[in-house]
Amino acid sequence: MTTHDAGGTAPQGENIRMSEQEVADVRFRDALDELDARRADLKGMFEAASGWRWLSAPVRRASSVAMAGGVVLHQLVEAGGTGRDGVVGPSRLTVVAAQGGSDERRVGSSVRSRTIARVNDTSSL
Amino acid sequence: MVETTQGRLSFAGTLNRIEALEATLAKMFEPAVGWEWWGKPSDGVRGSRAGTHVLTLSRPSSVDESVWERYLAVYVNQGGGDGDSRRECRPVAYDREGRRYELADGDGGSTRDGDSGGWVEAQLFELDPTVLRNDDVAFLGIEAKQETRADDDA
Repeated sequence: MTTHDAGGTAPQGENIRMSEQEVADVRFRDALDELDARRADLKGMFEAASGWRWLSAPVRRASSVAMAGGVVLHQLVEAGGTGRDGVVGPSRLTVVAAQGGSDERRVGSSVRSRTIARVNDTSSL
Repeated sequence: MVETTQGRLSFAGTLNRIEALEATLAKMFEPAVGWEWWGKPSDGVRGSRAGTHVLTLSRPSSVDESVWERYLAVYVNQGGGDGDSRRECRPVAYDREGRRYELADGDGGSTRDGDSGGWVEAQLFELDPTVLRNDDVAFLGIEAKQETRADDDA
């Protein structure tokens, strides 16, 4: 086990450090602290609709499969079909929520999807 | 370069700021000499991603065996067909100050199919909690040793 200070002390045998410019401009810890604070700010900006609560709070990059409270979410990007004119239609983001259990445990399943213009747009979801 | 920003930002401003901070932090991670990132350091350190399973394990404390201490463990998995070479990999953790900690090589194993030549390998790496506590791991990356011409010729 070896430890190195990425922002300062050079390890013996291995030269691992930030550039001097980076050290001068921002400290690792400061950037990380602000990042955590900004992420908390962003998280606080999402409000569930009236009468609804977040089962899975919005995240920037949803994984393809996620679990939240016994519900399994599958995020899919469906490729657009090719029309008669040969033009490929827009891709669709689809999230399938699957759950099971007894009636009293049912949270209220729904399957929702919306069409997006570009697949790349999903990177910010 | 990111400059210190105070005050509350709009949604878009906050998102832009987060992306700028993430980009700034990403630039600070440099692999060791002779190594390259197989998986760049990420603060989403738990769970599974390509080729790795990140676990939290527990063991009796070396100081007091009645106390169990949690520690970070990472399985690095790789495999291939006949002729595909394995890469020497090692997980690297970072604390909130940006200090790096290489995980220690632990148990592992591999198997090869005699007919097809296909092989799989799983290698466990562990981070001693007395060096860095599991909860203090801020980022985790996977380094792979750079392949040299000598390796290619071998």
